[in-house]
Amino acid sequence: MEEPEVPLFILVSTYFSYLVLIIFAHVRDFLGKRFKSHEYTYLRHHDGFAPIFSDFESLWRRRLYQRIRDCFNRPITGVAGSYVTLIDRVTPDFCKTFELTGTHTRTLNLASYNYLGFAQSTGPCADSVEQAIERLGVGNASSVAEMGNSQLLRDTEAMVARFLGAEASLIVSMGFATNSTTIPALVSKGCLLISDELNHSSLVTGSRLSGATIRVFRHNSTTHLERVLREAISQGQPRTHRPWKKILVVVEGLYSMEGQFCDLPGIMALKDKYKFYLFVDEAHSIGAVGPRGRGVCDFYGIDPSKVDVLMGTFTKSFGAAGGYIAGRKSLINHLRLNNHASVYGESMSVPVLQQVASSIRIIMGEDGTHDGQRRLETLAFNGMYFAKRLRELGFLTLGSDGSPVVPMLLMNPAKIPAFSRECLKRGISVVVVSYPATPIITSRVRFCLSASHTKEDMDYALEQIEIIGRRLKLKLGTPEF
Amino acid sequence: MSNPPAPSTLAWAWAQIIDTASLLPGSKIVIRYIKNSYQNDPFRIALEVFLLLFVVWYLLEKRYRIDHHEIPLNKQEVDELIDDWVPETLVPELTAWEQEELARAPVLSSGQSSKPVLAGSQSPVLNLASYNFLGLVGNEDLKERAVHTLRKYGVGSCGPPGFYGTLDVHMDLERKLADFVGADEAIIYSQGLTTTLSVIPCFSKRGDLLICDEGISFAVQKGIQITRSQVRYFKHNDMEDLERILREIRQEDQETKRTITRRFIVTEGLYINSGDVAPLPDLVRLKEQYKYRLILDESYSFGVLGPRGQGLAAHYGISTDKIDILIGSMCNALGSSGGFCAGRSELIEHQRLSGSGYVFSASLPAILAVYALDGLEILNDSRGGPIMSSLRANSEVMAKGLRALTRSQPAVTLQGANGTSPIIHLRLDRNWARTHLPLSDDAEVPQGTRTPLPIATRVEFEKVLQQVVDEALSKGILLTRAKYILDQERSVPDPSIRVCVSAAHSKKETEAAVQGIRNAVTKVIGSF
Ligand SMILES: Cc1ncc(COP(=O)(O)O)c(C=O)c1O
Repeated sequence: MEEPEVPLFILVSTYFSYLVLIIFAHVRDFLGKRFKSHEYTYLRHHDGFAPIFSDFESLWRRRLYQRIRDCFNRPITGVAGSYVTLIDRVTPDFCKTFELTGTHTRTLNLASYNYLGFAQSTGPCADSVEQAIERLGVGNASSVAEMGNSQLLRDTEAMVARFLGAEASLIVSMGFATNSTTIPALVSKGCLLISDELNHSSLVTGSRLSGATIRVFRHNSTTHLERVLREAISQGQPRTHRPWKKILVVVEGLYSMEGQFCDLPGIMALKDKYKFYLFVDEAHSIGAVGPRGRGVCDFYGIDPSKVDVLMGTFTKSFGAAGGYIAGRKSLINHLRLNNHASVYGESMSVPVLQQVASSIRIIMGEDGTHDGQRRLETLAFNGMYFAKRLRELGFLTLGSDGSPVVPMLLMNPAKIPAFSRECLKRGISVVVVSYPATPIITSRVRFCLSASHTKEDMDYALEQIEIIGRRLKLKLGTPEF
Repeated sequence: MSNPPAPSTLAWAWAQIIDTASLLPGSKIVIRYIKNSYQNDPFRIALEVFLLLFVVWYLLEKRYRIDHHEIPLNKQEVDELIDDWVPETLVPELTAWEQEELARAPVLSSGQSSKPVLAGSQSPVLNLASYNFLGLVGNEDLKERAVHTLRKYGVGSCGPPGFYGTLDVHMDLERKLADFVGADEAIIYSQGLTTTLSVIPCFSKRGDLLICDEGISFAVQKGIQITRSQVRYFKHNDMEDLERILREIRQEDQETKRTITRRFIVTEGLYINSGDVAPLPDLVRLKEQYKYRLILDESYSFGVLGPRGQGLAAHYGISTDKIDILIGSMCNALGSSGGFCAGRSELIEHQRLSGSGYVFSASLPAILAVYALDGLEILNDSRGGPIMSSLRANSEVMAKGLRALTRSQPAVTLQGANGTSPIIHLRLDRNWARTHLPLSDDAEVPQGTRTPLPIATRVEFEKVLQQVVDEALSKGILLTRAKYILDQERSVPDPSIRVCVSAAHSKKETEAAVQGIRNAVTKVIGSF
């Protein structure tokens, strides 16, 4: 990723702020443990028990995150559509505890992954889900391999495969588990897994469960990937130098913290020569990216059958939940028997499955309307427009053109809660992220655009962000700063 | 320097070093400092020099180690190696049995319930295969409420709990779950399997110690694997063996005087792989005596054991706070989806930032959260009593009926037929198999029960059990073999038909099921 130019003063002051925060955190711990020791019992060896979390491990959570906890886990009610209703809460003790006030606030939602605007409680999707619940019920209390397979699941899997241009697909009831339980079914000891350094936690969990050797390449750097491949193949396995059984390269289609597409053409160019298998996690790109909404392959015009394992989730663009794996029939058949979630996890519930089926039908235009195409076009426009306007206003944004996620740099730790709270005051819900989800220096706010946002919505948000940006000195991209 | 006044070579070397060093500008001060401190405390200097040398050695050593294993190659050699390398296929070919397994997997055409209809058939069958213990799956009232929820919340939550994915119904559910099991607080995850997988690594880290029952489920095994903690296994449900291990460790502690790390005993409440109930009173006694914390996976006992289904603690009349970390699920007895963890507040709050399946995944759809809430409500109000007694009665009928079967039919054995567990495993007897099954040469049946069956033998066992399943289905009784991923399990139990009793069946229906299973078993076994 090209690091945007950040003024030196900001860099220094950001580091300095963290330094101060951390020193204070340690001092408070030090004093607290001496003078209020009863409150810290759980951090110390006591009564023959080791502390349940070490103080170091939890320092960040107790001393830093705690202070800005009001910016996270904000409870909501109703649908997280273009607007979202927050349940108001106050904290009497600096975010240690919260009390609900009983009131609600309706805010413009720039936070949810509702890319195509399918988070709806009315309309054709919801109608079909209602019918499905009436006909088929809700849960399954069984795994797909045992008694949780149904005609609806089969039909939906076939539809997902058709949508993606793959031979077959397999549906899992949770997106996280789709990754964490599929990777161990593909690689094991003696195999090499090469992972982008910014890969999602679910991919990391799956990699660690697999028992394969893990190497990491620099984020989106095909040059570094090639170097890792050359070294790995020529040297073979550690110590024994036996050749690897197989190599799996794991990347994401759209990195949601960066708003950046993976360099799929660059990776495909290496694929034939180095004979690795490719796993692409399209959690954020499927449905949201490409002229027909079919993810990064569609975006780059790459034949999806060239990617060995296509993975994605239904939590984002489809307004549903769960995930899928698509690819060759042989792959899917193998996974039906070896993917942990298919054998031991609950199968996907009826309403979620029906939501997936109905939303894909709409995206593919098989419902006989242009609704899907319209959503895709609106989302593409919204993403472009919002990012462009932010840059014009002098903010530093990250990410690729055409991404529905637009991260904007905040840097200074104090500005993280300030920005979030200011937005809330002005009726806008945003997501702010900082270390450990991002590098310590580049804390950011992440705007998620949706096809359900109108231009007026965006203009209102931009206007308010510009005011906040001026107050908080966030326009890092302008000389005015 | 021509005639070194050397009482010893060491001193001479020292003088040489000082001489040479003093040529450097500013070195006089350093030398004086060293000399002075040497006079004050020669030991300290020695120590510091030693440390310095150690650092240098350490740095060199590390580099040396890498070099040692890397074979230097030129570009052409690397290219050749790359050209020559032939990877294995991404996935292996399916075996004949695996193909059969796929082709035979049942598919529902109706909704899931205690009496569903399979694709390709018209008539409903009696479902003894899914974990619908309470009959909440397929409950008409709950369906109606699900539609209401849909009309208020839509389907997906479109965000993880941290980012506007926490709904009011999630908070309600967490509160109600905590109250129901009797814990301070609870946290919900959106898939049962992932709950266990996320919770255990939240607390047990590298260097910590886990003492686990051998009979734990797959989810617990994988949760343990992620922690990279040390693991010791005790014999399934054998408290003496557990105590033996705890004593051994205590002795090692005393011998080595090491610092105590976090230590946990890990068991399930109701073991899915055997239908056995964990002896909680003994576990609590041991964990308190030896200072361990208890992680209890109640994925299958929650909603099943205890007067109202509160779980293992209520079953024994023990206070829930004896269980440090309680993992439960909403996808089995409650017929919804997802799982939860209950315990003391600080342990739950910790997970809101550390539980990977909580932090990095979208929250549970509202429909499913409300479905679980409604299920809890049923258990709590007047409807709960009859459901629980029906479950108990049916479990007893099933256990009794199957025990009668094994008395007359030595070819099969039972596990979990204790009358409490609604899960009963019906297995082929190894001795019977040895004498009756036409086994190929590579398929043999090991003596005893502790050595796992070789794959080829397993397949033969599975085939016989599948015949029983097919035969029962033709008489309207839906059974399933317990499915495992063999090469991912630590030690797989022998193949079995896992019979799951449901409160939704009448006593008559359960009796009919018993009769059906007996007939099917007798018929299939008779053919060998
Ligand atoms: C790249 C990636 N993979 C997988 C997931 C997990 O998906 P789900 O939320 O459906 O569990 C996410 C969600 O945040 C993601 O960003």
